[in-house]
Amino acid sequence: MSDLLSHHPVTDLVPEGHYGPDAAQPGLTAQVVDGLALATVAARKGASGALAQAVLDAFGIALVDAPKVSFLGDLSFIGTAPGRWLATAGGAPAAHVARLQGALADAAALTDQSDGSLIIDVYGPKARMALAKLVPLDLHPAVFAPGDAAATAAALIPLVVWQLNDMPAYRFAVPRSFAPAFLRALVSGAAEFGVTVSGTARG
Amino acid sequence: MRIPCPYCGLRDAHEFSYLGDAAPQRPDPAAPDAADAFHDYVYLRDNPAGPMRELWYHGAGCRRWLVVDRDTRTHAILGTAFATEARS
Repeated sequence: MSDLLSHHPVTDLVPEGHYGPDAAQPGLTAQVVDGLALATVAARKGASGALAQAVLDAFGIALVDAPKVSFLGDLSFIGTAPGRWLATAGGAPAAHVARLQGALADAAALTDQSDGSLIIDVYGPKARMALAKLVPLDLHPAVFAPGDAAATAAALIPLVVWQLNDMPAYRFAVPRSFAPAFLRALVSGAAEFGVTVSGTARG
Repeated sequence: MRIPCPYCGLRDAHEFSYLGDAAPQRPDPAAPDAADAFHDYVYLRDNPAGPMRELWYHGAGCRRWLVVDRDTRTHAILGTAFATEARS
């Protein structure tokens, strides 16, 4: 499969289309998700309790200080480190940050990351098998389940990954400038299962 | 070798960077014997065959410094803790 992407510029996203066998029933799909706003939330020193209370009061979310997803509706807090979360929500970045700022500014430092990462969903019956070739985590359902998250590195690219459901579907936040390399590594490894790429237009 | 990060869980050693012995503490630069103390702090290291407390940085994960108890003969990890808690 080494020549699979040889005609595509290495600096461009992998173009939309199907790679490998079974176009009618792809083993997995890699979809670039648009319209998701991102911000990092870092608890101020000694303010972990105040932050958890503020998140509960403002958003009704019981914030978990662990590599887990705490969410309600479309607002999710993904644990990336002790006292640190990646907060995602639909809509405009400015509105997302303003909403967090209004509720959490006293207890946490907030940084808009919406233009820093590309969100890529990977889902389908063979998603786990394909990601086993890329992600240095044990993705067995007994170890990594819906609601679990991890900050790690795949193909030497630092990223955050969390599981959305037991289809299984995984969501990746990949540093934007590394997204072409991430998609190439994913498609090269996943092509044996048949992988459909969408949301990247012509690359 | 895999290291159980207190936050992230069991992770491959490639996610971590190794610093070395966790025991040396920075001496007081104002003390009268500061030059000798800094010489020892910078240069003198034990090289034990067996359990050792070491500093590791989880750069590809939670980006926290850890103190890892590792047996240098077998690479068995005997325990891990955040450096902020283990060295305070």
